[in-house]
Amino acid sequence: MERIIGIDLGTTNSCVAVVEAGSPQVIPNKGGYKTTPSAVAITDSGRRLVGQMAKRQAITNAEHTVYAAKRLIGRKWDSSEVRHCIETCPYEIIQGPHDDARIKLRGKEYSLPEISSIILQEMKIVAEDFLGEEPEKAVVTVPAYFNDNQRKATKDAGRIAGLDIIRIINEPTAAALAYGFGKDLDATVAIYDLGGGTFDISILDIHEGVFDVLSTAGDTFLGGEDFDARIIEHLAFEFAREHRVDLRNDQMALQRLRDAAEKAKIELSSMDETEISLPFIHSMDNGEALHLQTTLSREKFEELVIDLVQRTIKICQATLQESGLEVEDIDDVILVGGMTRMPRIQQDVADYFGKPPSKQVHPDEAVALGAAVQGDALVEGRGDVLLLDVTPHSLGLMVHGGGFEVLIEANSTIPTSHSHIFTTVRDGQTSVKIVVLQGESERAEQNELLGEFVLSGLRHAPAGEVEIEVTFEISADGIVSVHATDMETGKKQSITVTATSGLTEDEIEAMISENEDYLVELKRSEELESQRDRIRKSIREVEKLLANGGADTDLVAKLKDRAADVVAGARNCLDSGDADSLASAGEDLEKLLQSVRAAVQSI
Amino acid sequence: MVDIDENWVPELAPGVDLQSLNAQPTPEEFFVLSRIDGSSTVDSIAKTSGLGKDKTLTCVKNLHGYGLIELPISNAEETEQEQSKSKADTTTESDSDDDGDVAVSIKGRFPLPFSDFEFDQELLEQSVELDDDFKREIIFVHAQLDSVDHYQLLGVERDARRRQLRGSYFKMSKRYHPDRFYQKILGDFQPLIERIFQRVTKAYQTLSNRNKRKEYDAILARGRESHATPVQASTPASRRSEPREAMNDSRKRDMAFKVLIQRGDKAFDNGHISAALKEYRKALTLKRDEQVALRIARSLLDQPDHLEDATAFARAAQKISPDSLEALKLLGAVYEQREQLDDAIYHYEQALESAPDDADLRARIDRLRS
Repeated sequence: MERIIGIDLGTTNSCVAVVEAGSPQVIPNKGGYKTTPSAVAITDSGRRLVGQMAKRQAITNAEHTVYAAKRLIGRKWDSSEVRHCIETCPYEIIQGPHDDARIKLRGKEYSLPEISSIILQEMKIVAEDFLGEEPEKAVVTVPAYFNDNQRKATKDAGRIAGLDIIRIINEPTAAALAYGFGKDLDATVAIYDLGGGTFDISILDIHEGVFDVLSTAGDTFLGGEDFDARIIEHLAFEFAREHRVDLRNDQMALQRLRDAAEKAKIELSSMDETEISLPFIHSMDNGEALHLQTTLSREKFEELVIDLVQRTIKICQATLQESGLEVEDIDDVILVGGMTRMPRIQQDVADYFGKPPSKQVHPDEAVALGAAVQGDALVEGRGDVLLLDVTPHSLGLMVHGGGFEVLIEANSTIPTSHSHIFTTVRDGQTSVKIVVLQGESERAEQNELLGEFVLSGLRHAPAGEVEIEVTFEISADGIVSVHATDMETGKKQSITVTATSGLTEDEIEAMISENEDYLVELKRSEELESQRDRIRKSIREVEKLLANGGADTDLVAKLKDRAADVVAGARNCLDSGDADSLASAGEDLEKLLQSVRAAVQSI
Repeated sequence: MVDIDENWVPELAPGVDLQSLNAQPTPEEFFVLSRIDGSSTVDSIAKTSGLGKDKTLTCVKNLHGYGLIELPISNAEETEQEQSKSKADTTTESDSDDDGDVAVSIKGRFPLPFSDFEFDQELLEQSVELDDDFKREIIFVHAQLDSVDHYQLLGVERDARRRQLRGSYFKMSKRYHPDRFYQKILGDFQPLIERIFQRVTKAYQTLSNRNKRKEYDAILARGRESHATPVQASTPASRRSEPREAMNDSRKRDMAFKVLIQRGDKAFDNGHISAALKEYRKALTLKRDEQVALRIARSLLDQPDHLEDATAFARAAQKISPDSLEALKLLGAVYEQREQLDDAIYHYEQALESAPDDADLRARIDRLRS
């Protein structure tokens, strides 16, 4: 049976789930944890580290450890978000060939989809260990407010990882699925999802297994990371006031601050006060060591981040208004994402909606569970669950004078499409350029550019005579595609994409094969390592047997001489040998071991 | 009560115009109607309808009550009483979700009944992963998307509240959402299904939003006015508001119109006048074309059995353009043929008012007067 895994590809943590015997469950990783840090590192020997391993070595390898890559995926190089990351991240962010951002690790450039693919691959392995077979297909979640570029980049990440992403669904919608699965609900619910890097709010109508998203909004650059950053700033500022040293200039100190801030934030969810102790955080030129030792109260923390909390409540207000509902119409409020453990957030959300939020879903696991439910529903063709999601942004075109003409409004149910007729404006005009954008501004330039398309090869005719019907489609994944037909001939028109920040087909192909090469290489080196282990074990056994061999018969003496040779040869191979010499050394050892065993036993 | 004998063979009532029914049969009734072929007994229809005996019997009774079918006995008085009562019965029943039969699972109220629908055989035979009933349903619903308003499409009344709309929309979504056919080979049915889902979604989103519904109701009201007054409302401004849809809509209508006219002409040439008139009527509800109406009326002039129909078509032409000289002349001619001389003179005189120099007209009037 085809198993579909659900992956919550989070900013700080990722989670994978699968439907087992009709109910969704989270798959723990090898360490027994249900979530895996979304961190990727490259070691000095060129090895990739993912998850807990990557996070653990971040302090000593800060420049080559990527965290929160999701904040950058699908972003333009000149966007304010990328600027922000360049200033605050210890790893090097450079400009990519498509006006995108790339990350340079150990001298090699990685596109954001590649970084994400490494995390996806890790989640795939977690699932594989559990299922006993390689999962090929997955439903992956993204923040509801992700635009087309970010969604496409996520899908590319799946391809590079060798994972067929059969559907991309929105995180709050997935959480709602987990919440409503198996219940006979008739309710209007609000999902408040504040994760590591993004905030989403969705209002859904749930009835008879249909999950109808009425409206959704969010901020793709507002999450736990920003709360951490406020603590880091506060600590660094206090430290600077006392010692006139800015810790943020020191990558290692910054990484320690980052870890301490996250820990303090988590502790303040259950305690009123927390100790922050970072000894030897900085050493002065005169050799004097400086320590950071302070306490942070919950009250102070709330004061540092109150504007962030208020920002989320404002977005809630706008979304509710958009859905045409009143606060009283909401039957249940569901909190998702690690940040919603913060008592102040729970309080403010409860105050706004006028009711305490539901604790029925696990804030870290609900999204992956929902993704697994959707995957199962799709493939099994089950009629009891149906998602009616919406597109979060308006889709439109740039028109004369830099205006923005909306074709598909935000919060339209997907899949959807819209056709638009283009005509030539000059005699003999043979091509038309279409600039497709996404956003809510009336000015084209303030919206997200999805691509420029050129309709070419139009027939020569007087102005206005050639009519081309261009259809804009938004798939159930929320991904935009464009195609065109000549109205008169019914012939499909070719469309050339001339500007997009996504990876080209060739690049993706190259990344796929590079990833495959890496995996082959990884497998080979793992095999070599286990060969080495076997040889070491054999050597130990030979030496043990001969040492305790008892009688010094001729046979044993002879064997000891032979053993000395073989063992020396094998030891040589261990240090420098390739696969072939390791194999032959292993064989020699095996033969020797048998003889030794026989000799010792015969005594 | 008409007690229906299960061995009766119901027949379609002759000369019933399905387009101008006073009673609007439910989809179930239409389905039963489609099974009535003049040779099947009530019992065998009940066995194959998938509705169960009770429902089938109710449908047969109602259809009889509407005057759509004839039963071996016919008691006019009784059926008249029956009509209002049993209609109430079936409307509640049609809401129940029955998944067996095609016409039953169709929620919307469509102008062309399922039984009357001609299926594109080539499309129907396409090998895709859908069963035959569902293929028919898709073709049927898709073909009429443009001829129903949002209320009819969702199968709800004008005063339907949000909950009813939602119930209907969710049921239809579960039937037509593309996810329902994930990984299935759909061939040419795929775009049809997608369009149905989009249209259903649009209907729900419009009607479930207070402001949008108000606007839409206003458009519907205006639409009915413009039907009443024969002024073409196709100003550039109104085209701009919904350019794409208007174009799609009118093009499709044109095509359907042509097909229906062709079918009518073919039937006419083969001497099936009644069948031809049925097609013509359908065509004219799609597009109010004066010239076509005139042509049909003219061709009926030498069909003594169809002079009433000729009058109807000529009247239709005159309604489309009230000042049309041709329509008035033709009406005169039709009445002349029917030997209703006063009416004939009246229409000729009306025509003369707009064409006082028409010698032929004058001659006709003089001849009739004498």
